[in-house]
Amino acid sequence: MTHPAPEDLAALRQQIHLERRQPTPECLDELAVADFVDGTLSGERRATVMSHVAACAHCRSVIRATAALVADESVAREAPHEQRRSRMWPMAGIAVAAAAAIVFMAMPRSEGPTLREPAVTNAIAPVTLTPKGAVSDAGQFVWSRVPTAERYRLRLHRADGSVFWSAETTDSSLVLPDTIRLVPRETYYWRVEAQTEWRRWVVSDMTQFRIERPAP
Amino acid sequence: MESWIAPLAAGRSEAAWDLFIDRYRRLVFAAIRRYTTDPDDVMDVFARVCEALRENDFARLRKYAAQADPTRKFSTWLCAVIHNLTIDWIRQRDGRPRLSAVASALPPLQQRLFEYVFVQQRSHVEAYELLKSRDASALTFSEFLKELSATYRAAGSSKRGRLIQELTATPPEPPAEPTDADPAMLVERHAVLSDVMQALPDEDRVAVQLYVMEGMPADQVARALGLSGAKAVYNRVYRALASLRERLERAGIAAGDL
Repeated sequence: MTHPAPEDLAALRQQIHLERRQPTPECLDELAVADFVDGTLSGERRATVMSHVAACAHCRSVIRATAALVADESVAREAPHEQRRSRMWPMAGIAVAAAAAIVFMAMPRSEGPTLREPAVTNAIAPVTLTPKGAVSDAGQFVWSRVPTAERYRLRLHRADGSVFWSAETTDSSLVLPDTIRLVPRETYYWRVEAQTEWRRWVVSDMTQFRIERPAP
Repeated sequence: MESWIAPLAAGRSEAAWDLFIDRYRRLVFAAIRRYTTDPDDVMDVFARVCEALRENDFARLRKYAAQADPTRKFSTWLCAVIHNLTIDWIRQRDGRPRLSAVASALPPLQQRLFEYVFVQQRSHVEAYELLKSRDASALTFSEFLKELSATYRAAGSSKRGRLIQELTATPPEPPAEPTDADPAMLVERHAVLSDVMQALPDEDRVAVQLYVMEGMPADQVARALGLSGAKAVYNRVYRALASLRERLERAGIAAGDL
């Protein structure tokens, strides 16, 4: 870890003597500020917002104030619990990054927003059981049952994030149809969504597997 | 999904409002109290926040609902709204008497500084030039900075202190001893630094601006920029400053000259 030199910081802090903090019509709206503070911006929108923030002292001050409010203990204590799906995945390795890419690419766009579970809930996400890691066969997908689930949706992804196969069932397992052929030594990812109420789903972790020694 | 969104979309606005206010009333109060501890202020700002959220058939809430997304945190958006409304309230008609009350307790010179910097939101250098031209001030820039620093301290120590601090930038550090710094030199330095800052990628520039100039905690900068943590922010800022220093040296300017 390297801390910036104090003399550099002092020289830069002098710049505040020249800054005006008046807003302009181009300034960020509150949604953009919130997305920036939470680090949920991506793609072109992120680049546009970043470019504006770099040039606008007013927006930087709103970002600083909003981040401080959100982080303040007395405010955070009163915020109802919110579960949100993260767009910013920690870069803990290629597998995680690939899984993150899959989540982005696989996020359903045409079905409207998926509702999250209510703040206080007993619904437990399904847990993927098999296949996991290096396996000799992946003909059947099995996961833990969610007590209130009405049905389950399984999505199988290739390593590039594209959806390879998707199916629904009321059971806690699915058999891979003969028409879907997995390529040995290629990495695949899968996850299960359990529907607990109308348009309300709980989702398992993304699970990685590859067929090392195909079954005879 | 926020529970108030469905009834709002279904045209049951008052039912949506009841759900919203029941869920977020405590957060709104907590956020406002972070800016002012005066009970009258708190109630007035709370009323203003409610009024603003209900305006034009709940237009603000409808706008959020139209873009609601499971990756978003509603409470962060609400904090941004509360911040903006609170600042607007004190700068506009309803809060202005409170602002004047703070200013009236200051010596005349600091009242002028308060007006220029906190109310009109002018830069420090602009305020200095206005003092010289309009108020015939004979202060050197060094003396001006000491007065400005005293104004920040006096305004910030009132019970509306945090609210007032939000109206402007990070308080300036007063010079420890008289210096020969003058605004013209600051403007010149600013131009040089701006030029070299422009050469940095936007993300590096924003990291430097938020961490160094805004004084945001490193963990909050990390969250905003999607970095792994405070250490990643220190490293990024360090690298950006090293790059700035190198560019300045190439332009024949030593670090000590800034």
